[in-house]
Amino acid sequence: MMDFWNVLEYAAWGISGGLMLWMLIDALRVGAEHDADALISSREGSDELLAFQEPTP
Amino acid sequence: MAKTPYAPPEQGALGMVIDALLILALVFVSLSAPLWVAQLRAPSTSAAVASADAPKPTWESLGQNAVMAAQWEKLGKDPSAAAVIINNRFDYAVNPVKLGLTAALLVIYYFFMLRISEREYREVIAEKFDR
Amino acid sequence: MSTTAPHHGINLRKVLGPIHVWGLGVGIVLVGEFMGWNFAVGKGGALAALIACWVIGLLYTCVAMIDSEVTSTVAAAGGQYAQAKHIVGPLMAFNVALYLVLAYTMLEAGNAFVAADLLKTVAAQMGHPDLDSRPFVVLVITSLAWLNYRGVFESLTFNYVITAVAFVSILVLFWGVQPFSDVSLLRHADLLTGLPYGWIGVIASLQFGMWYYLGIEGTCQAAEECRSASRAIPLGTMTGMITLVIAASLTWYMAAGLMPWEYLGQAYTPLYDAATLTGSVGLKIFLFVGTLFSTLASANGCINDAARAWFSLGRDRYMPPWFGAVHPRYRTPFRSILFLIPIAVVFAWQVPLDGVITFSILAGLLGYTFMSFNVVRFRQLWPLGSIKRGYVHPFHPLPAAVLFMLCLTVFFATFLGYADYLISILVFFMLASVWFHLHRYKFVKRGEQFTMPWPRPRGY
Repeated sequence: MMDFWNVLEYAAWGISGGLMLWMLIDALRVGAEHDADALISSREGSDELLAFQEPTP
Repeated sequence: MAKTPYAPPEQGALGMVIDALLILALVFVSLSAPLWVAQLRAPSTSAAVASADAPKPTWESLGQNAVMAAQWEKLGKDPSAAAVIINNRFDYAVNPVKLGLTAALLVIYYFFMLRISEREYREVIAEKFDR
Repeated sequence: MSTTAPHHGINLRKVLGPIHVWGLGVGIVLVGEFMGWNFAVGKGGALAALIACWVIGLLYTCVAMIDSEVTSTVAAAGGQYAQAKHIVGPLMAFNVALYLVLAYTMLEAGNAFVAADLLKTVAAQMGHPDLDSRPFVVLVITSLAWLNYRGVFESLTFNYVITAVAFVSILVLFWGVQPFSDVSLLRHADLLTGLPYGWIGVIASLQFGMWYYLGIEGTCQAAEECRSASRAIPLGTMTGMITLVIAASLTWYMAAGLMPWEYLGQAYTPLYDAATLTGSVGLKIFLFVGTLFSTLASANGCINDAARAWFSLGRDRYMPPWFGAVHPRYRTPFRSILFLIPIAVVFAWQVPLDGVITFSILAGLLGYTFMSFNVVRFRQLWPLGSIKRGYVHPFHPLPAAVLFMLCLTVFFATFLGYADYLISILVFFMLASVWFHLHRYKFVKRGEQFTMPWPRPRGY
């Protein structure tokens, strides 16, 4: 018998699948559209360190 | 003291995929191990629970006072259901061999990790500051 | 050596204040009051769980003190990972990052499990006894991963709101059981049974006592995204600890006064059960919402933290650099977020809740052990005054020594009853370390990993 909870189960599978697909497609698109080196160009602590290396008292 | 910085090799796409999958596999295999061990032991313990169930348990035989019994019942557990929970006790008898083995693993793990880290750290500092 | 030129790569966004740090820290941990802490009751009885709450509170006070100092100085995504890299060395850093990834991913799996199990319980109470909880596990994990994928500010603001609601639900339940009136529902006199396992049970229960606070140190994962890390991190962490101590005490008091310890020691959703016992439908609904929200807030923070630790590994090539990518539009470590989804799902499906929690605790514990010697070394290599510290913790090296001793005790506590889990996680880290040293480290640039504008460490 198909009741409210069964519908909820299918909805959960469906929404999860949709979100997963959205993320995968977006990730693949970003990978294809952008230069690989630009994507990994972030550097550890690049500038906030200078911001809080204020003059030492 | 000028040194040429260490130039790492470039890794191909296949190598990257293999590395990622390898770590994934290592996580799954080593962390599922306790479950397999538990499954191997399972038959004997469930048999023990079954035999303990043989005489129908009552709240008195389970050592529960009136207030406890009332709360168990509000939580939807009758004496037989509660008996499974109540009789499922930990065994804190320490097996000295196993304890020694575990302690040795812990010490060896930290010892070698810190030794190798120290070696790698000296290399990093040398390359960073000797230029 | 200092690179003063502003860097023009794609970086993580700097938008967070102390309130987000509080939300991130407490958000991850507060779920510990709704589930998991009560396994400490199972290991040693209700009184043992209370002692564990205080003893482990001391452990975490040490962690918070030490971590605030080191983090407010080494402000970078990856938190303790970046600390280990600058202070102890690359292999240690690799291990620390894996501790973080495992601790948070396992906690995330536990959260998803409890959220789904709660739905299953409600479905059963409403006449549908065999709800399949698996799709709900996946739904929790993917939808929160999606939120994280879309942007850190949105997901942490969301966290703040649902954490606050969950916290209020504990207070309301406390008020609802009328602890200090004549008609109080609490029955401590009849339900507290002393120490069923004796004092060894008290030690054994320290393991799950960790669950009252585990993850509070996650606040420093957000360091790189804080507007002012040196202010936001100590402030957010300390207020977070205070919040947790209050919540933990209230939770223990209510639960121990409502449930026999044997039941409490194995419950998946103890506070929801406590609300059920009050007989009030309103409280039951509120605690359903509170439990659900706390698991979601925690899972959300876990995805944030685990992905950032994994991202840092990729950025330094400790793992394939492909994982070190930042999304050009959302500025999030999107590939790391995606990669960790299947791990969380599989562990939530397969491993029993106490097992998942034990892995999370052990990964955390290995990290705290690291912190204890890390801070001693930090003070040796860069004595006070040699670099600018955002915060200096008092009584050094006492907190480090206390932390180290408590960590050893908790390892022993875990050995009691969960020895197989302890052994398997140690074997995992050994194998991973061998793999890293013999194979992976050759792809890592050596001097470049050291990114802090600090002078040469003393003695090197």
